[in-house]
Amino acid sequence: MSLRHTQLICILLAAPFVAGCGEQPNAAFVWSERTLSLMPEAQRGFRAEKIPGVRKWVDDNFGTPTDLLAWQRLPVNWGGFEGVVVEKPTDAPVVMIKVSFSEDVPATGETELTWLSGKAAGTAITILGFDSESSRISAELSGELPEVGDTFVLDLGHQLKQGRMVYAEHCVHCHGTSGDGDGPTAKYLNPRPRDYRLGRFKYKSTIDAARPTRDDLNRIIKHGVPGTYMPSFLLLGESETRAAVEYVRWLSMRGEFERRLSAELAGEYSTKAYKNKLRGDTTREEILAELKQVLTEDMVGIVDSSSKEIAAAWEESHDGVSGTVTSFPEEAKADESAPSGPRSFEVELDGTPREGAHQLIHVLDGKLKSRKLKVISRDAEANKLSVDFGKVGGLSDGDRFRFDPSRAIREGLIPVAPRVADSAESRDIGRKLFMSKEVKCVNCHGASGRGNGPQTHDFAKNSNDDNKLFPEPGLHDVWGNTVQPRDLTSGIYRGGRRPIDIYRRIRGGITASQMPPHGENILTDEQVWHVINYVLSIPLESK
Amino acid sequence: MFWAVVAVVLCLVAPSMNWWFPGNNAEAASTLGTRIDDLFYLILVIVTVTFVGTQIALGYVLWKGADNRDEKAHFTHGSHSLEVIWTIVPSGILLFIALYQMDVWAEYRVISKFPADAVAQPVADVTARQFEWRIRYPAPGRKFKSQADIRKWLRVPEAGDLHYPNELCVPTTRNVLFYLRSGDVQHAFFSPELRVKQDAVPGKVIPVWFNATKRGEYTLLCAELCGWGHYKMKARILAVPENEYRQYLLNLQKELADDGFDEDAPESDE
Ligand SMILES: [Cu+2]
Repeated sequence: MSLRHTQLICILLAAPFVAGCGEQPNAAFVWSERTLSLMPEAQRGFRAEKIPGVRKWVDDNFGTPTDLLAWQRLPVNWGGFEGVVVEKPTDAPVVMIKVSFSEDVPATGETELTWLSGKAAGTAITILGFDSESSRISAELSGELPEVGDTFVLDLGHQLKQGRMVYAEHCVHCHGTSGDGDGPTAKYLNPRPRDYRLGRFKYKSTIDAARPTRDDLNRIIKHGVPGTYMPSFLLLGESETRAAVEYVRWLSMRGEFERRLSAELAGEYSTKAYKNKLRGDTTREEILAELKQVLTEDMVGIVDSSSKEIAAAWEESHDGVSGTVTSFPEEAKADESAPSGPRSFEVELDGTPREGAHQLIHVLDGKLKSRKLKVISRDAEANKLSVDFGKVGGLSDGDRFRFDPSRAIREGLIPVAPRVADSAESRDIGRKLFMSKEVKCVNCHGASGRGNGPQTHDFAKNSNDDNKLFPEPGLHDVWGNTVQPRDLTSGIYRGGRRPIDIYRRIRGGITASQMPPHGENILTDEQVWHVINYVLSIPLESK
Repeated sequence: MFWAVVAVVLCLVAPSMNWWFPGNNAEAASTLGTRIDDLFYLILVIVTVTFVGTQIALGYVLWKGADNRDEKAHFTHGSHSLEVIWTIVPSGILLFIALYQMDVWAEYRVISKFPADAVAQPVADVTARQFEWRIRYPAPGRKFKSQADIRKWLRVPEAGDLHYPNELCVPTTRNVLFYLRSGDVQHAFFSPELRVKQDAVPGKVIPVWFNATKRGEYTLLCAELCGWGHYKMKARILAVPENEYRQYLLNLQKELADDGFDEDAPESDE
């Protein structure tokens, strides 16, 4: 080998190292296929005339992975510390603003501050730092100085940013930058990672297509989805898990927003439709003029209604507003064994619980921890809550509690009868129900529960594609993947193995993937428990 | 000379500075671990003495040689007796180490040498899978009647089993044994503080035992590169006193039996 060859080989070997250390490309969200199928003008808009297209609408409201935007109308816990200006700021090259927060805020260096009220309301500035000891913010202000009483948020969106960091470390390689379930490792996985952009999730405590609650997502992150490649992240810290949940919810909202906007234009303004129109009598100019009109006139309304609907759907699945007891009447703390009945006390709520949707509070700490109490009435003006304590004494100042989340999204998913004790008789009744024509478990799960029922061999219709038959036999989920009904002999339960988990699967179904709901008209609560006892016993039979 | 002094000092202070072992105590958190540490320190002392000794000898020879202007250097084919000596002495040392560590090794790896109480009542069945640890405990109060009974439990799950991911709770100051298996590829159960490391081999169910000497939360890692998510396989081992351990299992049992039924719930709303 000549010297020249050796040199060439050395350079080639070194190239990947040199290339790997260069500037990282800017992180960007991946656009959906539907968005990319649109005419370039529909995607990008008309820059000269300042008419935004789909991508600009999405970017302007959600930002990029490295520059996230907090769209206030979305029900996301962005994170941030709300504060108020308490003294007239000093006027100097560097302005010192004395402020106060309702909670302890750690000192920070350069960070973002968003004004909520005052002359600069709605604008954000970068401050030089916050000193927690003197409670002063230092900033270089060019315009007018803020006044006493102006409110602001410090470090708005820090939870979302933290969520992005967690997501980037643990989730992105499967679930993808934009939550499309198509990250670099996704193609090796079966089942495929969840694509959040439909707003559909499988293992949750809510009905049908209702969004999962924060608790649901939290549980999935902590416990994983056994039998899939979603592992348990039990050791991820509480705050990291919470942040990841917020980020996933936000990504899902972003994906759904993009999908809805693109769907509005996909019929008329896809590249395919454009070509078809050109083949007709329409000219390019006419199509563009029409598109411009749609983008300027209709799009604002579509953006508004889609975002509101998405926000409402997620809002519906909230986990219930929490609060703290601020003043509990002393005399009510009587003997704990004595019946205490209804009591009224003062509270401080972290948000506004929805009227009528909360008849229960869950006590989160203190001596009544994990009890559920009936709310009799709530006086929003006086911040008073009237609660029936039955026989359990009372609460103490500082106790935390939480309102029950809306029960509408859990309709039918909360057992009205306790689990029937597991027994040979119960299993037998369950087995008969499992086999019965009315309940139809065997159609998919098979007579032996192996997940090989007759439906897994049939060709199904694709509702996303004019009801044409799928090219391969078997069941398909809303994402278009083939799904295997659970092999009940394996003893692996993706959505969890607690009785309540399986109860929810049977009652609510997994509508995103063909497991139908079984309401009261098909199975009574007692019968559901029999079926559960049978299902849980299938793997126990000696192999 | 300076470096020789540094080396000796470093070797001497290292154990007390926790430089050799993980965790916030230089001492292993398990009985067998302490003995493994002793072996380690023994080897460390032997290696240090040898290293420092040979370096001093080398320095001495160089020092003397550099000063010697009269004698001319000459080539030699070596000394037979010297070579025999420096072959036999290290072999002797190695043989000593090999024999000296044998009972620790046997207790660690040879099933017939395992403590009988641990073998009779395994505490868990641990499955390593991409990319998590799945723990299965026998139902609280479940007593195994025989080894055949244990083998059956390992083969067929039972209704009362408790399942939990990424957290293995064990009692302290008692010999505990668990069975390790893999759900897919090869993994390795590694707890640095407890000095336990065992490969999980597909198709095999491998018993592993230890005796945690003090309460603590110990790291459980996968020590076998098992795929792209290898770094995610971090879990914890909770070692707690016997009564807390029982309580842990009872709490887990309660949590896993959750049927979502709520007596106090109002009939309906909205
Ligand atoms: Cu591994």
